[in-house]
Amino acid sequence: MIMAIIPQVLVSGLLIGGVYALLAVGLTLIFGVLRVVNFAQGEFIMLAMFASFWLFTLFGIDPYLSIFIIAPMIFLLGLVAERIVINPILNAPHAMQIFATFALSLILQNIALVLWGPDFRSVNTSYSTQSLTFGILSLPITSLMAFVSAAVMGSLLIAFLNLTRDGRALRALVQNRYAASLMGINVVRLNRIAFGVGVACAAIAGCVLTPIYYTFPTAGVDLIIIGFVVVVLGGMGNIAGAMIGGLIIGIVQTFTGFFISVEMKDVVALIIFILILLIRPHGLLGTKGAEELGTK
Amino acid sequence: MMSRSIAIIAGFVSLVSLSCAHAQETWKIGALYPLTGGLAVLGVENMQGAQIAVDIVNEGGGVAGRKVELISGDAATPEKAQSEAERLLSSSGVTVITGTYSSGLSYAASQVAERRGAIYWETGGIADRLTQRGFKTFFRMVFTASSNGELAATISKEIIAAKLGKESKDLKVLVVHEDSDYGTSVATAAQEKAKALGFQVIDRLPYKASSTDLAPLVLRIKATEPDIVIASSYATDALLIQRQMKQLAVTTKAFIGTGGIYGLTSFGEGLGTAVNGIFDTEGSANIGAQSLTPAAKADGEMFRKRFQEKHGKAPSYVAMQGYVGTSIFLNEVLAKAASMDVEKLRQAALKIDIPVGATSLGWGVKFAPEGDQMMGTNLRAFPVAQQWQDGKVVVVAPQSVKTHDAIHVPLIGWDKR
Repeated sequence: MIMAIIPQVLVSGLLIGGVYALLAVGLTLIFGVLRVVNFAQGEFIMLAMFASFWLFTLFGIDPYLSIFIIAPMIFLLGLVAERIVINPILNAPHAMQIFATFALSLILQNIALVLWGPDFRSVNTSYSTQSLTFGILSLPITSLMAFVSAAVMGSLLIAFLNLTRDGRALRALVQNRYAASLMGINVVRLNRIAFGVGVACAAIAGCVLTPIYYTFPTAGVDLIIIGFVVVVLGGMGNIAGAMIGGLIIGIVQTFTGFFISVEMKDVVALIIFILILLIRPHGLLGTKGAEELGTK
Repeated sequence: MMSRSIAIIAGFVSLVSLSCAHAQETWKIGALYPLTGGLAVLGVENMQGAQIAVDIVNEGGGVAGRKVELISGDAATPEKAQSEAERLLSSSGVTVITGTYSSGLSYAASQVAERRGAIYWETGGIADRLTQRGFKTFFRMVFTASSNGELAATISKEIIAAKLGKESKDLKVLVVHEDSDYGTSVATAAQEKAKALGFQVIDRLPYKASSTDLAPLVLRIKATEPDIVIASSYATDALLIQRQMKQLAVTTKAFIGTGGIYGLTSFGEGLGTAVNGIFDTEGSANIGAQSLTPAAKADGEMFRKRFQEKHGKAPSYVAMQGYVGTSIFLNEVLAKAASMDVEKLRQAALKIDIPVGATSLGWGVKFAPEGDQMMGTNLRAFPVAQQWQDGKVVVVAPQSVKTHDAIHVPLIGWDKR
């Protein structure tokens, strides 16, 4: 029976990899452009999950459709957050930056706790537990949608970064902040846009994850940890890297969990994290040395 | 001049002593529960139950003429539990702390209490080793994790094997559990008891409760094809396991969850009709009334009504656990000792002798005496086996306390539930 399950292990690994990519894309964009680790990224995901839950419960709007309402709202919230929290600490010492975004994360968690309480909410749609079956393979619909969303979101972002003027400016910032500002790029404006887009990606992730997990104030805390690992693996600021990194971690974790022990799968991801930092800190697709530049 | 100053000072002193006397009028009890964070859902309910016990006692005039007051602390993590315990014991000056819902939190906070010679009145943590530390002032009202795990194994034989018409030796059992103190104690006990009852125990699989994905676990279940799965989980993982089992088309003849999580309303809501047939071993707020004394039955009904009025929902077992545990402390320990002196309280606790069936949870109260290996455990508390039937949790075992018969053995297919 074990041999017959291996294809399923691979498929499940790829699908969870899609979820990981979703979590990492926004984070890597913010990290790459602003050189700030957004410890509140998980909370933007959580806020989107709550928004999605309420839209579903009160108005019957499907979580996947609610993306079109929630992502723009969170984008705007991101612009505000960047102005108030991030911009002032952009040139501050690292410790201050960590405190600032970490504080933001605690504030958002507790606002959610006060507004909606600690109870676990769930969204149960007709397809919540359905799968597409191909012979011996089962593809859960919710995971498939997460995978597809990651692919679409990633592709759109890559297109934006390569084909639009603002997008190219963002890539310039990722490469070398100082040189970019010398080229006449409006760094303040682009920082704001990058943060807004980054948390909008978190919002999309949140909507897509709502049918899979419980929604509750600290939902973002455990979800986002893997996001950091994927960002480092893929290379800071590199969208394609985040997607490939997500798939790699997903597959490695699922195989480890199946063949060795379920507990080891989380250990393995963090071991990879440490190894990358030691051996190849710019990640799979990052530019060598870029991870140092711009971080005083 | 002198007399005026003296008058002012005298007036001031009497004012201060008046307010001090006022402040000394209540019995202060420390209350540590996880009020924020991942465990808050039930931590808050646990405290709400305790608060109702305090309210009722106060409405009846308090204990020995003085009202009772809960001084609460938020024990969201073991570290916070420790620091809050320190705060309660030093600045608030309490000599009794009650709580804590979770074994891990209790373990941490009670170390502090023991060091400072204060009473720790645990109403929720079930890990066995809480009462295996030789602490003289630690009392645990609830049953142990091992009794919970053992019950899961026992109903595997008495209900599931019996209904399947098979011998235990012909059935494969797999135990899965979250890897903290809580999950591990329940799972290990279940595994040992299942082996002792003759089942083929394939494996015991620990996993991290906060995992974002449990496909590897579910695929291991699929690969090993057990007849019965016994699980000990927290909330998010419990839901994830079921959903992923359905998505990956993994079926078993029976699924026995252990602990309050598998009986939560949110678990039922998250799964819809797919939840029917799943078993859960824990305490129950709706135990068969036939096993209760008339006084206990009335007390239970009164509590359920009062909780519903105050909080707008029916109380869970965890709420009732906080209520019964705190009531026993107030009415049997504090009332009899009429003092906050730790030794008097301790002696009063050791003297409690309430028969099974005399509390609304169906338990009695008698603590294992000093020198006993499980010193401080309530020997008359016991878990019951429940099952989801028609979207509600009902008690199906033991015989003396059940309200319904077990159904859906073997579990019907996912699409038909």
